[in-house]
Parts: sequence; C-alpha cells; structure tokens
Amino acid sequence: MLFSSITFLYYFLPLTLLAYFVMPRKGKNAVLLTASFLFYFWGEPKYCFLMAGAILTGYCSGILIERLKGSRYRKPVLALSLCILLLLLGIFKYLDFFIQCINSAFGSKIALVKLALPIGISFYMFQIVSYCIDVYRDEVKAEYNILDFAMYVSLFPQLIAGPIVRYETVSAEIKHRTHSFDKVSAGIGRFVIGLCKKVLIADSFGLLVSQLEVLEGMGTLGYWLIACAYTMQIYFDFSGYSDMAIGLGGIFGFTFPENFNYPYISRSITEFWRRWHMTLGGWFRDYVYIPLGGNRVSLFKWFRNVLIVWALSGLWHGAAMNFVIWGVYYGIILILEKLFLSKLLKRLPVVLQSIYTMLLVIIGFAVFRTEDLSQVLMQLKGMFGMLGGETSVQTGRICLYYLKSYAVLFVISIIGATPLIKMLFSKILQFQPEDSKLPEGSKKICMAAKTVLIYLKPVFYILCMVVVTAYLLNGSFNAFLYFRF
Amino acid sequence: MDRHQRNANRIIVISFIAFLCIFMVGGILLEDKDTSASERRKLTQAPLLSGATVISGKYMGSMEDYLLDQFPGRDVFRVIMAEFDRNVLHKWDTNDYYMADGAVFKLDYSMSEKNIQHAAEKFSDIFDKYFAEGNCYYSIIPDKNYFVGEKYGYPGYDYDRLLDIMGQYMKDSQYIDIFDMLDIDDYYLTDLHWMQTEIVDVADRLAFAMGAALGSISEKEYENVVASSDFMGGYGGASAFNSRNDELVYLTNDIISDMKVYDYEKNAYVSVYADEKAEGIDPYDVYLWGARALLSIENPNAINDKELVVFRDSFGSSMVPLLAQQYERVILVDLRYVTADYAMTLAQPKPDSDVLFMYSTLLLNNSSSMKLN
Repeated sequence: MLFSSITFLYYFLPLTLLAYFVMPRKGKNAVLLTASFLFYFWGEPKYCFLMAGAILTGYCSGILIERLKGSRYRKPVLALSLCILLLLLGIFKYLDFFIQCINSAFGSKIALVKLALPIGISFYMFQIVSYCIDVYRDEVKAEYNILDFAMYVSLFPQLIAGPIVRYETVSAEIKHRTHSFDKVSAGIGRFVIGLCKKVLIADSFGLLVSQLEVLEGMGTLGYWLIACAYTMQIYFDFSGYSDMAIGLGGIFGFTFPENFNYPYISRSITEFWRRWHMTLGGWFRDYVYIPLGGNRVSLFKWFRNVLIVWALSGLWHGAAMNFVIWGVYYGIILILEKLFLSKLLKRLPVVLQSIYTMLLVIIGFAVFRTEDLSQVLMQLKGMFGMLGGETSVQTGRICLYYLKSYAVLFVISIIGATPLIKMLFSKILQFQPEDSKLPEGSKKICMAAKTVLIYLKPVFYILCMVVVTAYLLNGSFNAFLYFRF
Repeated sequence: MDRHQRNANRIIVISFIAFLCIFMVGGILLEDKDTSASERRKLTQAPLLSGATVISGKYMGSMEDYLLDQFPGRDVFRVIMAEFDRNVLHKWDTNDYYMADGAVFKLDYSMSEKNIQHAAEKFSDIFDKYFAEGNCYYSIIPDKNYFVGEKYGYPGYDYDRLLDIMGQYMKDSQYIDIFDMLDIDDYYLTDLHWMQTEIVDVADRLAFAMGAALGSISEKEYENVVASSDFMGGYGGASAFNSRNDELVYLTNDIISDMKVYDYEKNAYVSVYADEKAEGIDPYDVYLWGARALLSIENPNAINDKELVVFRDSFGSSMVPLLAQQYERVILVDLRYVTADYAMTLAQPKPDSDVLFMYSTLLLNNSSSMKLN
C-alpha cells in the first residue's frame, strides 16, 4: 500500500488512528502489529510469510545470541542467522542478477528465476541484521516478546522505504511511549509536508522525465533536463517518504531517526553523503566499514574498504550493474576528496563548491536512473554533447517548452531543497519578545505574525490535503522510487 | 510551548482526523456513480472479493481504481488540480491540455509521418478500387493547435510536412485547401471541433472545388437552432479547467429538413440532427447522430443527380449536412468503424461519384485507429 494512495489516506489511516487511540495502552502494540501486517498484505499478500519468517529468524537468533553469552557457539549462531537473512535477501533480490553475471562471464544459459522483488525487503532485512549484531555486541538486550519484536520489524510507517530504524533507537518506545496533541500534531505536520513533496513535486518531475525520455533526436538540453528533473524527483520522492514515515512514527509515539538533511546544499560529495540517506550510510559505516578496519589501516586497505562499502551500498539499491557502478563512482570520489580534492575545494568560492557537488550528484543519478548500461553511456554522452548524429529541431523545441513549463516547479524545488523556508518559519515561531532587542512596536508585530502563523498551520495542512487529494484523484501518481530497493 | 501553539496543535489533530473521516464516511455512504459526464467515461465499480483475487493482488489494485473513481466530490477535486497546476505551479499544460485566449487546447506534438503516409496510400487505394470513373478530392482540417500553438510557444505538428506527405501519396486527387478559411474563432472553446455556424463558407469552398456554383451554400438562408446553451466539449471536460462553456447551434432550412438519412447500422431512416443527443454524454452527437459507421443522406430537393462519397471523421458530421444540399445523395463512411469494402458493398455508390476524403490532422496522425488494411 502506498502512503500516497486513497486506500491508505482515507481508509487505512483513519481506521488505524481510531483503533490505536481508542485501544488502552496495553493493546496499542497489537493494533500497530495488525495494521502493519494488513498494510504489507495489501501490497504483497504472498510475501507476508517471507517477512514473518525473517522476523522469526531474527527473534530466535536474538534470544539465542544473548543466552549463549560467553559460549563459543555464540559467534556461529550469529553467523548462521546472518547467513539465513542474507540468503533470503540474496534469493529474492539478487538471484537473477548473479545468474546474469554468470551467464555473461561464462557464456552459460542458466534460466532466470524471475522472482518478484518483495517490497521493502532491503529495509526490514537490514533492520533485523543490525538487531542481531547489536545483541551480539551487547549494545541492546534481546527482545523476548515476539509481538513487540514483530511490531518493530513490520512497523508500517518505516516498513517499506525506511528510514532504517535500529532496534536501540526505538526499543524504549516499543515498551513505553507517550502521546500528546503536541506530538501528534507535529507528526501530522511532517506527514503532510512529506506527502506534498512526494505528490506535488516528485510525481510532477516523474511525469516530466517520462515525457522526455521517449523523445527521439534529443540534444544536450534534453539530456540535462532529464538528469536535473530526475535529481529533483528522487530527492523529493525519497525525502518525502522519509518525512511521511517520521511523521507517522511521531503520531504513534515513536521518534525515528532523520534520513535527509538538505543534501543538495552540500559543498562536497563527502558532505553530501553525510546528508543523504543518513540511516543507510550509518548502517554501512557501523556494520561493514568499521568491522573491515575503517580508516585505521594501511592506505591500500583503506581504499579497499571504501570501495567494498560503496559497491555494496550501490548493490543495496538494486540488482543491476549500474547501481554497482554508481556506488563505486562515489567511492572513488570520496577517496579523491579525502586524498587531496577537499583541500582544493576549500580554496574555491562557495558557489563553485556547490556547483562541483551538484554536477557530480546529477551525473551520479544519470547513472543510477538507467539500468541498461548502453543507455547509461548514451545519457552521459548526450549530456556532454558527445552523442553525434543529428538532433531534431522539433525535439529541441519540445525540450525548451518543457523547460519553460516546469520552470516554476524547478524554482520551488530548488528553494525546497534548501533550509531557507524552515529557517524563516522557525525564526518567526520561536520568537520570544523577552529575548529580543527589537523596539516594542516591532516586537508586537512579530508576536502578531507568530500568532497568525500558528493558527494558519491547521488551515495550511488541510489545504495541502485538498490539493494532494486532487492530484491523487488525477491518477498520475507514481510508486515510490525507493520501493524497488 | 505557549497557549496559542497548544490550541493550534489541538485544531491540527482534530481537523486532520475529521478531514480524513469525512471523506471515508462519504465514500462509504454515497451511492456509486456509473459514469463521469465531464470525462465521458464509465467509472470503475466495486471489485468482487474472492480468495484468488486477494492472493494475486488484483483485488487491491481494482479497489484503488474504484476508490479513485468514486471519491466524494471527485469533479471538484479535478478542477482544483487543473487550476493549481495552471495558476500556482504555472505549468503550461495539465495532462496535455492548456488554455489560451479562453479556449481549451490539447497539446499534441508527436507527429507520425508513417501514420500519415499510411492513411494517404490507403485513401488512394480506396479511390482506385471503387471510383475509377469519379473525381477524387481531399481536404485536411487543422486542429486547434495550428492557430495558437506557435503564438504561445506550444510545440505542435509540422503542418507543412503533413501536407507534403498527403500530396505526395495522393497524387491523383485534388487537394482543397481550407486552412486559410479557418481561424480559432471557428472552433468551440471547450471542444476539438469546429462550429457549424462558422463553416458555411468552408462548405462553399469545398462544393465549388467539386463543381458547384460559388455561393450556392453560403447564400442560402438558415435557421439557427440552439441544441445546447451550456455545451461542455470534450477538451473542457477532460482538462477540468474552469472554462466558459459553449453554445451548440445547428443550421437548418427546408432543404436540410427534407433530407432523409439512412443509418446502415440501425437499418432505418433517421433525421439529420438528433436533438435528443444534446442531453447525452457528447452533445456534439446532435450532428448526424455522432459516431456512425455508414450513413446515406438522400436529398429530395437536389438540383442534380450527383452523388458524393465522403470518407470522414467527426468533423464531417457538422459539415456534410451543408454540403449535401448540392447533391442528390451523399454517402458518409467513417473508416474507424467500418472497412471501405464492407461500406461499399452496403451503400453501392455509383462508380462516377465524387469522392472526398475529409479528415482532421488529428485523425491522420492517428490513422492506426482506422480500418485501412
């Protein structure tokens, strides 16, 4: 089930909210567990059993690992549980990719299995893996209540596209969490903003990309337009989803970790990856990079560690070679920045640092977008005018038309990708006359503006819901891009 | 947190949940609709629940379609979406529709030279096969984009190229150019079609080119009959723009009133204009009953025994009643619904009939929708 669907917004969500808040405290987790399985069942009926199996594996492993403390069997149990979980992930997500690699390497003709990718498998498997490792490292206590553990893994707000919530982050809230109008209100606000980002911005850019990519004889402008539109689409799609997940979590009393921190304002790729998909970056850092030795090893081994982590990170995004290339691309840039580029960049004006970062990000997403490697090459050649052949005048006109048609949306999205609006509103909403040195008259105006803004929020949210619903009814919404991961 | 913030938070929670619940309850309680008048389509009905459809996931997909179609106040939301897209996001088109000078247009820039060539070749074949002794003419009706697209920066067809292709593959036919006689005011604001009241001079040009005296149609007197004073055309409904509706008027006189129209699908005679269609899904269907495969108009007041065969699309429905005044019999063939072979077998035209292929650029570009093979 999509968050941006009528089924979810107008049936699943109100019914779940009513059931949850009517239920006494003891039954709230049961309501969430039931709702979460129903949510998953609605989109992936057959794969509910797979998720249940993964939950059972994680639950038993956690208890066994904890009980075997001091025993020599502890490590093998952890290894076995990780093998089971990663094998399931491998079979359902990567089997065909591996077969294709073998076929192309050895000229064999092994038939593809063509299993449908279970939605959210990468996210919930990573959560269970991190839980098992954390129990092994004695960083968290094993969960003995299977309903609570199942609820943690299957919790619908973050089940299918993150953020990747580690058990230690929410373990206390699973047992005891508080609810208040203020928390629920904040959650609603975050959810509605995320919904707008997804439906009004990301889906509009998605439409632009699909309209442009079918054009023939495209010139440089067209290729850049596609690349820029996709760069905006993927950010507003994924960060919108994360906002919705964090907002829904807040409504139900959970504090989920932030996943994005305005990545497009970064001044280097190193900074970009500190701001983009932060929970995934943290996961790979803690469970792959540091166990490999991190940067406290020889230079060669450090190169190796970085490239392994980024190749795996790319592969996590999808079972195709372009994702691996995309990951390694970032690995190489990060190595170069660490070695010398960062020092050079710091000497440049801020604008040039931002242009450098966004240029590499846009090129990165051009690789990311197309799974067919020949298409990737064509896209990159097209962006740099190296495609050759004739470009169509008519296609040029069409591209120019779409550039003009989407100009306002580009401006809105560029502003939206910066913290400007958030800072402005925070400044007004946090205004305290006693802390201000403004003259009395100005203080009164600021206080009046603050009060008006406070009471405009509910109106704004309802208006957002009306507009979002209008767009949803238009039927042009897309599935979330990160669903395929 | 101050008192105002706490109050506002309460309002946010209550209003948000109330908003969701109102539409949930509305969706459950309101009766399902069968059709959408503005979109001119059937609406999805509730899917049947079964174990197999649930396990396969089909039930969930159908349920989402159903809930989208039957959402309370759906038409109002469609207008909100279109106007938000246009006035807030300032997108130049919404779902490929745009507004200019108060009229609604459909953005269409994908011209298929292959389709146009295919249509022209097949039209030539039809003429050669059935009308060896007759005269062949063709005329092309520009779509609305032709008049405003370039002016407002909207991409459109390469009309010169389209005419070149038609000329190249219909060498044995005489082209009757009507582009210069039309302007955007000759078309409905909310529909793709031209207005019958504005094309009398075009009918005259066509008839003159095919051998009638100049002025023979435009100099006749007509009575304007308002079929619908609040006509929402196809573009208006599909775009959901907040546009001004049209007046749908047809022209009649004693000659047209006396005409008998034989409908080969119904095997019955019908009137030239179908007044009851004015209240239907597409009021433009008042002209010759809308989408009909094969019609034959008999004119008892004809001043000659000439016969005309018109291969046409929906634009022809409003044009042919005017042209028919100059002929004893006019056969109308819509190749989207019948093959030329079958139509000729049924209608039995004279081999020396005048033949007119009259198509809009839109249909020529989508000639795959015609039964031409």
